[in-house]
Amino acid sequence: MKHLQTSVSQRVFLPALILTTIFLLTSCRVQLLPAYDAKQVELIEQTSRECDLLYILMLESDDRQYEKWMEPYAEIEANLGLLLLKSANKPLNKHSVRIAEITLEIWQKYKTQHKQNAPLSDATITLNRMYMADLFNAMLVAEKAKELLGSLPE
Amino acid sequence: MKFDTEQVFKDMLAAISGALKQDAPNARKTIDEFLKRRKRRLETVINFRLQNQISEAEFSSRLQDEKLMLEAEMEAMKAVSKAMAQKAANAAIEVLEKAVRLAVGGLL
Repeated sequence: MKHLQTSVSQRVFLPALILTTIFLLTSCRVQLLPAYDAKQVELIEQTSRECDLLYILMLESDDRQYEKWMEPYAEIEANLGLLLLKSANKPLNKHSVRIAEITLEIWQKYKTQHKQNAPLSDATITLNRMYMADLFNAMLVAEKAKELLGSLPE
Repeated sequence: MKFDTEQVFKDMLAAISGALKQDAPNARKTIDEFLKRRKRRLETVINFRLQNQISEAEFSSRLQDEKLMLEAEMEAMKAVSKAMAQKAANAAIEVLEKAVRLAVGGLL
């Protein structure tokens, strides 16, 4: 009788244990970053283009007073703010958040310098353009790394 | 069906190694690109300073910016490393899952 009870409990217990293990394993995925977001990449690329365009036009222009360029400066700063907001609202996204913070900080520094020291020289505009492009590159690298992990559902 | 723990762990290690080997060239390429961009920035800043196209104050300001640039690049590389680690870890878990399912299929 005792042998029969042991045999029955083994037949029930062992598969139950294995099925529980499978359940735990399937819900046990490592997650270190948020999912890839194609819309975020689009916004980064669009803002990068706007920034590049601003500096290209400034280099071509005789009028480099800050007031002439206020609107595109504001537009780009608003987009950088949005990128930071969207990054900060994703879990496990601290690397992209920090890059967005640095980009906004440097953008605001260059904008303030233009306001205080207008007009800007070719050299300064060229350097600003280069530094901003490299920051957008860092942003894209961090975002595109998440492509390895699969995308957000549409 | 017997569950060969040693073989399963060997297969898991192979999955991790395979995933990391697949992504390592891209990581290397990313680092090289960051170094290339940094070199170009520094060369441009130094040349502009030597030609007196920027002031000493602006030169110092750019060197300060370089600290933040390096931080941004490091954050990007951390994201790349984490993506690689996540992909490798989950590849190993998948191997373990398949092995357990197979073993359960044999038992039931």
